[in-house]
Amino acid sequence: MSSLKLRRTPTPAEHVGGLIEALTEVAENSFFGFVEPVDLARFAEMAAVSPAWLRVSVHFEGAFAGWMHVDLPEALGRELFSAFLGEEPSGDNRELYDLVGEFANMVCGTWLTRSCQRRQFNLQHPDVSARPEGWQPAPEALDSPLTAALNDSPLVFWLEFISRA
Amino acid sequence: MNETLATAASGRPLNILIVDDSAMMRAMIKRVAGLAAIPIASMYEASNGQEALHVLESHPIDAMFTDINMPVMTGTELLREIERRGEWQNLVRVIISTDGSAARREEASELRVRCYVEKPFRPEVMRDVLAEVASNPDAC
Repeated sequence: MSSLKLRRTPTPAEHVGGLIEALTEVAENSFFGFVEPVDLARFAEMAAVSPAWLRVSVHFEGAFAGWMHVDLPEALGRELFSAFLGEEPSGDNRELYDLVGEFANMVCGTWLTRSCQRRQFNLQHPDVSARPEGWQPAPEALDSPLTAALNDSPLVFWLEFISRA
Repeated sequence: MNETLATAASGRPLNILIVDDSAMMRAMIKRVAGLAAIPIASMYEASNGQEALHVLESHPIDAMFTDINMPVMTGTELLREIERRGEWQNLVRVIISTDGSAARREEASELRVRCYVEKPFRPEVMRDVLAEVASNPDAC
């Protein structure tokens, strides 16, 4: 991945490749997971059988600023929890939310580190929330989303950059 | 020989402080530390730099593993405060962070950080760092 030297606000499309590399690195190293990019049609098929979803947003600020968002099935979050800690999450959602927040934090930090080796970024504590019952992701409405499968479960990442005046 | 070297050489169990705003990351580090073949007396936890200072003030900590991006007081602010106060000269300082940028690493070296572990890491990497800290605090 090349290191970007930007004086303008980047676009999400420029960073899709960096995000998939970061996701793969995080999944393989800390969650013993396998990642593959999937197209929108395949994503929709997998998403249709995933009833409950979580959204994680991480705010970053440094050479550029914005948010990295990810929507993932709650069941995938539980799978990531077990892979990371070797045990099942308790009934308390705080543990599950903490873990998926840390997962998103690692992807965001890895992407930024690889993209901008010479710059440091500050990441805020991840914001994790459950999507309403019956909600389904709509990546086709997003600007340059990364749709992928992690251990055959769907997840979608997208970036929002804050424009510099 | 400084106090920490003496601790490791004598085999006296270490007191370890883990500072991270993610309770699950703290749990994972504790789990790996528990599996590592090093003598550990106690493992303390803090969810930010300010809590970590309270632990340092009340317990004899040998090694501290800290994240950088945390609310209330960041890991960098914590390390600066430790330097400013000068009360914990022998404390072994290890950063565990997603931010592996050259700028952050340079900053860490100025704050006498012994090891810099980038997240994501494999559990065996953390085990090896713990073993190095215990057996040779000048390594990493």
